[in-house]
Amino acid sequence: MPAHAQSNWRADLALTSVRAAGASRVTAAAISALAQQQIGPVTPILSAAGTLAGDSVAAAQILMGVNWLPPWTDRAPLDFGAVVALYGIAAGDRGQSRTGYARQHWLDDRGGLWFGGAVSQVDRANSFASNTLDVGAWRARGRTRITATVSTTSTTDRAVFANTPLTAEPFAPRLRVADAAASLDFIGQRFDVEATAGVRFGITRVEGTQGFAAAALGLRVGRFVRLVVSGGNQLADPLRGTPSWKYASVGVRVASARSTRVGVPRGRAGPALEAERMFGGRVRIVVHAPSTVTSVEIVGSLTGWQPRLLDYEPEGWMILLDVSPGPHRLQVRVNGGEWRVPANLTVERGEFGQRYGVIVIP
Amino acid sequence: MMIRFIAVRAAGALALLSAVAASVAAQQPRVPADPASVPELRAEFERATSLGLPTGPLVAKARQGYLAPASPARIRDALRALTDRMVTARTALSPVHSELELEAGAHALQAGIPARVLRDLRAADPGRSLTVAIGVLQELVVRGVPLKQATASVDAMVRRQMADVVIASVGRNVQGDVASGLAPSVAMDVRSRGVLSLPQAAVTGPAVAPTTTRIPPQ
Repeated sequence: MPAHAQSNWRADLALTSVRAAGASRVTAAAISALAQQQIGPVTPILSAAGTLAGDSVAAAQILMGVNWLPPWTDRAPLDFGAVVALYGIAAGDRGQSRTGYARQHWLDDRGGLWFGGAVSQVDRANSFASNTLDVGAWRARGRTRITATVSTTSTTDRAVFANTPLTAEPFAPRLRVADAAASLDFIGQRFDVEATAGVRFGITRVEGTQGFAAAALGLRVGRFVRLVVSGGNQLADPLRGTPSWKYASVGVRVASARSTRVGVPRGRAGPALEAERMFGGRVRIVVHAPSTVTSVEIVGSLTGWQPRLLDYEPEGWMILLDVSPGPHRLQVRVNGGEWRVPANLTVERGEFGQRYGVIVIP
Repeated sequence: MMIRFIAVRAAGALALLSAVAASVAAQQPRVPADPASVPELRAEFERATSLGLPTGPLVAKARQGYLAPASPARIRDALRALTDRMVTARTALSPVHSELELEAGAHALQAGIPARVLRDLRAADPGRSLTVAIGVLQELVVRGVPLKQATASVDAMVRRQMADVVIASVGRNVQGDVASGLAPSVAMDVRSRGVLSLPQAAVTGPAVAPTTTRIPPQ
């Protein structure tokens, strides 16, 4: 099966003022970079971040992850991932976290729901285990997306709640909290905005509540460059062993794309499709569905609206057609299932309520 | 699928195969081979013919409707609307070069592209087929590029007599940029500047060399 890679990367240089729970405010120069490369259903991710504060406090973090969308889960994608994060502070503190997660998504063309969970192990001076269950929903309209999540986390790491409005019961072996959050992001022509707000409740052996809110505003100053201003407060994350903190930051981001979100599928799209006019004038259509499926069909104006079966070749599922130049509308389906728009084509709604992919063939 | 227990005989096996084929067929919408012969739709085809319009686009639309599946009444309404749009497109694109161009114009009108835009494109180069250019324009608009910007870019390429393969490549690259997260209008600006900086080339008609209409997968 061919590899179809799509990569995203970003680098940030910022001046950040951070106050971690229980610590004094630190102003630091921060540099971070993230890269992800989609290879078929797998997306490896690598990020690194470093900060250098005015009083010579320095910290660094490396995060390595991989996200996998199994090829057989086209209708309701399963999403698996694993992340290893390593951090170090110049004063000598070192730590490591290892997290594995899984999510089950249900999608339509504009949004979706998910249910999932994660387990993690954090190694600092001691080792701590945490697990999370979460449910969420998202909806996109135009350039705006709204997401809501509810989660509950159980952890043996008491320290993350230190110096917060949440009070952990002394000597409790395991603590549980619940979070509810909503976020909105908007991608405009000249600027984009991300905003998140929510609340954490103590559930088991923890009392109190803690609100949180954060926002980021990006102003486009070039094709890949944005000025970013952000601030807010971040909740402690037992999965990573990070404390709660408040921050304000201004910096520059250079990115290959607007967003490097991982693990939130775009919508219930069909496999990608390519079209190539060959010598002799016929058009070769290739649909990139896994070799493990039993049938792939296309239908559209280029087939006279008669479903046509594709044959599996080394390059993918393929068919040669006599296709006139111009715009064409089509759908694909796998294993005799639902007709869908290929993931990489422009979506057009037809007058019969169906959605079609549009492709212009010269 | 219905499971039947039946004696192992040749006739019985054939009957079983027929039953399976029938049940599979029943799951798929029935698309008439000749929609023009369907009583509910015949009048629309006759109307199009009386107006001097080709019926090929109506056949395609009817098949699309049956596949959806849509009711005969809904298909009939769609055919009537398509005929009306083809009349408007014929006027805007006069002189029309081909049935494909007329159909592309009708689809563009359905996507909300005004007739005056088609008229202006025709005026930009009366001698060439605008099928691909109109298709790219519609694709850009559907994708989110503002109409004014998309029109200006496609119009400029037509006036400079860019080949269809070049115009189509702009639409594809914009699509790739948008898929990667650039705002549609920004993506259009970037690609148009790149294409319009190429030396002017004479129109050679449909590409005769193989071209790769590769669209990066999502």
